[in-house]
Amino acid sequence: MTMSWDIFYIYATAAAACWVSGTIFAFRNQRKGAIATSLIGSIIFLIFIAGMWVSMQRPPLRTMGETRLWYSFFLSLIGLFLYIKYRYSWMMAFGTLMSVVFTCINLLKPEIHSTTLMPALQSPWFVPHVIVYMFSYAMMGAATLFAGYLWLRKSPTEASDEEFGICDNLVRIGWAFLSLGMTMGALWAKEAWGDYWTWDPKETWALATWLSYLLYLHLRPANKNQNLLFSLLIFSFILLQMCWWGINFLPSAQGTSIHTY
Amino acid sequence: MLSQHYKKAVTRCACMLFAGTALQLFMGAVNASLLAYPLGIVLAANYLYLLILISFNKEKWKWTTHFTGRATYITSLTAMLVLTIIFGLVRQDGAEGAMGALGFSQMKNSWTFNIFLLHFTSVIGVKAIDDLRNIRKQKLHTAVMHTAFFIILLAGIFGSGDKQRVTLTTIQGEPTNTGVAEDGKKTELPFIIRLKDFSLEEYPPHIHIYADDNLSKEHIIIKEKGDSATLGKWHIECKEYLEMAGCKPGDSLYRPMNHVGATTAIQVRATAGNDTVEGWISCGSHIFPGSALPLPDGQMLAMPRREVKKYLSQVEVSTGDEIKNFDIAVNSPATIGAWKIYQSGYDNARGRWSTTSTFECVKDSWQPATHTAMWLILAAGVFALFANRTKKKRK
Ligand code: HEM
Repeated sequence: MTMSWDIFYIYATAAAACWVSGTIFAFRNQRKGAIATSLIGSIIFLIFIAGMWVSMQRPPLRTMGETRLWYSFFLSLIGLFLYIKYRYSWMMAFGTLMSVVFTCINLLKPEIHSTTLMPALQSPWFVPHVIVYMFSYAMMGAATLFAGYLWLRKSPTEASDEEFGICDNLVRIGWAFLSLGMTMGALWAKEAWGDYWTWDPKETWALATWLSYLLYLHLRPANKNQNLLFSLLIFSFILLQMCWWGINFLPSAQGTSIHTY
Repeated sequence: MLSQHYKKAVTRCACMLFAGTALQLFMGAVNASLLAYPLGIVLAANYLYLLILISFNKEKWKWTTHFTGRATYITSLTAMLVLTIIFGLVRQDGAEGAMGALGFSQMKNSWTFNIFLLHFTSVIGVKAIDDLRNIRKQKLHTAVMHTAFFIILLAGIFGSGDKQRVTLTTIQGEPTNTGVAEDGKKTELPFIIRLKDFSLEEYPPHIHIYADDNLSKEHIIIKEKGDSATLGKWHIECKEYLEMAGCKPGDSLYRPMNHVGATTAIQVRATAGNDTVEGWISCGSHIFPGSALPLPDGQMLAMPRREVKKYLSQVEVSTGDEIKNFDIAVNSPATIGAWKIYQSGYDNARGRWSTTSTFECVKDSWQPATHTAMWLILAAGVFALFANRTKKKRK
């Protein structure tokens, strides 16, 4: 059977069921069950992605819907990884929640997908560039949720050093991937068009996002002001959304971006 | 409350904003070509020397605090962030009005943006030199990030005047060395290009439903005779597939034809319930008309121009002393000294029968520096992931 969006709901339901039961196991302190079940969910999801790659004869990285697939996949893995590492069940719950939300968006808003790939996209940079960005977006999604949780939770305590440390690590890893994605994009652009950087709206917003997280990283060593730092993280994530899909609707970017979905 | 350092840093930003706005009003946009060789490289060398002096004389020279210290780089980074957001929010069309007067509708050539960028570059430059001087005490990936990013900014700013981009259209068999620069001027290149052959590969034809002046988004793909698929309520079967076909004027029958201008034509049978329609569908070419198949409900089956998969120019480039052959395609340019030749287009009307090919020739003498710095960032980015982990283990 060839993979197609028509049967996505089967894989989506199976994966979501695994992720949700994994999370339930986690809250019941059944660690092994939680890890195994959640991982199976991610594997089921990956099988769908791989199947699409084969059946479309090109990497599924071109349309919004396709990038959301990777986003769901990475979020589920990040949630799992954070649970394994820090033993917070709610981290897995966050990963599950976000993955399911993005899966639902894909179910509710199916897009007609074509198998063609224009010549500019046929480059060895295509796959690493987009996957690295999607991973970074997922990491930043996790960082944002975590920061929001620390900031808004009922208990009046300030975030502890350990909690700040987790947040910093998420941002550091996410930011390292943003840098990789941006640099690969620049090297690719040079190879395809002769310029590393052309201030295309997508590039401009990617730079704003990157600078914003960089500001967080530079503020942190001498700063523990929750209100400032957490609002900066949330603001950065808004910039990231602008870069990811917001520019498709932004009046100033209409008709000027070569990065159209 | 802002500390004294931050107050000074913010005041400095206000001054830069004021200076930028004044320059913009009196002098208009920044003209990068002023930095053309040799001025660019000379200024870059002096600038670098100045930054090194600053790094070494921090204690002696009080004024160097403008380029070091937390308040400075936090403020500078924030200012760059704010300007970049404005850059993204304002349409970059050079429009006049308030945004135009401030230079924000053409941000990359605005005085304010470039002054802040130069300040930012200076700050990171001094930091990079400091890092390199204390490389033992410094986290390696941080030092590399600062240095690489500084190199990129340095080459980007001082190399901007040396960049040349010339568009050149070649006709098969006819050697040319003259193209058109970005400013519209005819420009002679230091090499001669001859297009030996142009080839173009297309994706298999797509069949859509055409109704109310619109092509349906939904489509099917026909690859060969015998293919069948369902489109809307129609079951469509391919009875004949001709990769190279033509038809006589006024005729609706396509025949195999091995000739310039040949087009793709397929004969299909479409069935829905008791309705059956049979006939030819073709996307047409610059010589032969296309043809759509009318359906009983007033809609039509149509084949848009086939999407392009790959196109490639085989060229011969001679520089006087030597002749080299290249296959140039999108994402695989040819390199001649400081020049790169990019495939950019062809005669769209003729498609695969194009006998011309358009190239963009780009000269970027600073490219080796930028390229090296980018690979350093890739290395540092990967290294940073591991570096963070080992640090935690030690705790
Ligand atoms: C405005 C110019 C900049 C200055 C003055 C500056 C200065 C600093 C300082 C003082 C630190 C603290 C750590 C240390 O000194 O070892 C730091 C860390 C760092 N900087 Fe910068 N920086 C600047 C811009 C940048 C840029 C553009 C990048 C990206 C290429 C960058 C990447 C980093 C990274 C990755 C760290 C380590 C952060 C961490 O692990 O917490 N910096 N920078």
